Amino acid sequence: MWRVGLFDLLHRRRRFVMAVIATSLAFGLSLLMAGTVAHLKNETDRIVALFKADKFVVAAGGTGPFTTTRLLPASVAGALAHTPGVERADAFVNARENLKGKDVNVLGVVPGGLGSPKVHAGRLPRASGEAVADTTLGYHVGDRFRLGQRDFAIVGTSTNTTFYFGQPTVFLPVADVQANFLAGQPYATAIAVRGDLRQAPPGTQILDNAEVRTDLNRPQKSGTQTVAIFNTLLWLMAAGIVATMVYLTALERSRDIAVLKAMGSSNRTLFGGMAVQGLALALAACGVGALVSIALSPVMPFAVETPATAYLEVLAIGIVVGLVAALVGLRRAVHIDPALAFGR
Amino acid sequence: MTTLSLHDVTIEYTSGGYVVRPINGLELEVADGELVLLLGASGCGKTTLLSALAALLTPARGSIRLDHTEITQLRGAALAEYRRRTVGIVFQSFNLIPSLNALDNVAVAAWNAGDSGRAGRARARAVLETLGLAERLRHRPPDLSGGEQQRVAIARALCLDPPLLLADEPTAHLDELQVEGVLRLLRESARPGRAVIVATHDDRLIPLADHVVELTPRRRAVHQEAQRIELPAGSLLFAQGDDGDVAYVVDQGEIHLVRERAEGGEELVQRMGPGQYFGELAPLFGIRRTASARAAVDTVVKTFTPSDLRGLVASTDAP
Repeated sequence: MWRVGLFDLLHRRRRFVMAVIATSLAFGLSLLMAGTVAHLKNETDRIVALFKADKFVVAAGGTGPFTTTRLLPASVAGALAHTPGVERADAFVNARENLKGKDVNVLGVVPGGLGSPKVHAGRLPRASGEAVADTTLGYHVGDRFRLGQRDFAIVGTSTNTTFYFGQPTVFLPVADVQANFLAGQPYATAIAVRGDLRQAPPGTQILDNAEVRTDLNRPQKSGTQTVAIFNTLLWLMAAGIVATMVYLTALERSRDIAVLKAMGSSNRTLFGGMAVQGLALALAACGVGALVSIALSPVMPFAVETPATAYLEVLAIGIVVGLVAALVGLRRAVHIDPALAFGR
Repeated sequence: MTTLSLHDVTIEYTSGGYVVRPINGLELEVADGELVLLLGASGCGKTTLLSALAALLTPARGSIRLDHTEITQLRGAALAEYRRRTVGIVFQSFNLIPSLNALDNVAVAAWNAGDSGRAGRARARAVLETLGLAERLRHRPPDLSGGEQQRVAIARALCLDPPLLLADEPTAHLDELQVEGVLRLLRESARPGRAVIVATHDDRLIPLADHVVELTPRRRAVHQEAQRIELPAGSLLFAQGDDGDVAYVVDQGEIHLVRERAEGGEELVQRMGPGQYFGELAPLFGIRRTASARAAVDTVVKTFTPSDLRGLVASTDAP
């Protein structure tokens, strides 16, 4: 009897198309938000991985290397570098600035040391006054920008070097950042350490990569939780649209359903027909929603990295929504008196 | 062999809080191969009776047997199986599914009974071709004429070759040319192994039938002198649901018109005193008594016929 449901859906194809469009927007937005949340997490993972460090040393009592405002002497890096088990230790400075109207992370790193980006075009800075910028800033090799009282030349560009709510990063030599943001004082935000470091120098604390990622994700937690709530609301909206469509169809098909019941159709059979309608609607909306999210991703202010699991999740939700909608329709059908078929 | 037996079948429902009994104590035997006409005006219970025969509603009382099966006792899977395979129904408004073409509208009956998509369509095609609709298989109901829609509806009802075919007002929406073909089909459907029951108000169908059941009391021309009837207090003049050929006027005493309540008991509808008349609707319109008339005290009433009504109304209304 699923054919009857399917043919009825085709018969009402205009309404079907409208419902698919409305539902697909909900699913599409849901995928975009899932992609945005995934991007926030991924960029944190990437920036921490970029350092190729095993530990980070920060001032005692501070938070993580990308969020703390407490400083420690940059010379700690030299001392740590000679600690047994430590292969390398480089100081870096993390600051924020506004360039081209965008908030950017300014990372002062040792050129070629821990925290140096992989350049997409050009080269790494070799001297003071040279910079590598994330491609999302729109700079090209040879461009110049002014930071504080000083001009810098773009010698290279990098990709996937955003963090802290998608802010692009500009990489400068450590001394340039110290000169710009710390009045030339020899301080660092943190020391990136490769190797085994068990004892923190006095006045410092050690964080491993997982702790650094957790710390950097912390300010985003309320944002991602809000997105999760919005997602739930969008799914409910999608369920509401599909269920309303199936229910209204059941209402309009009261006579048809009465005829089918008069011909001996069981509730299970009727549910089959409605499940076909609910599933077809929900799955079509999932498909169109996926296309909507892919089409809108490039124009979103945040980068969108929708994981494959999000598509599978939306598919599963679509199936559940379709079946729930069919149950709503069946609830109506159960109450239809088959004797209605004799009505005029 | 298909034999349908109805014994003391009473069907009732409630309307506005009152009990309505369109079918009251019906006795009927339909033999194998017979075409029986249920004849009557609108509201007389034809469709209600068909619903009971189709096992879509259960009578308040009585027995409906098809061969050895007591239809009123069917429940669950047995009831569904009866509706699927034993009875075919042709509805008054055709009730074809608008999203399906003619072929699929008929195949629904087969799919419903468990046929695969292909097998159901093959069976439906065979029936439709037999009924002369081979060229209209892919047409949807709105693209078919009334007669064609009715033939598709009959094909759907006959698709699983049921032993009992019910048709509700099969000529209601058809012109004369279309009626002819449909009537022939119904007549031919009544053959050994199948009984056909047709509910209609159209008495042109009478020659078609082997047996006619009149569900509306026939209006008989009553020519009689006014009778004087003395009723002791509490005695019943007529009961709700009775046939009636005459009306009454109260000469002395008081008549209470009462109706049966759905929740039990009676409700006084009207008190009729000397000079007031009542009970005229049944003889005038050929319907059953819609209330019972009972003497509240020792009462005398006189009868009058519909033809006397005009004079009686004139004299009652005179200043």
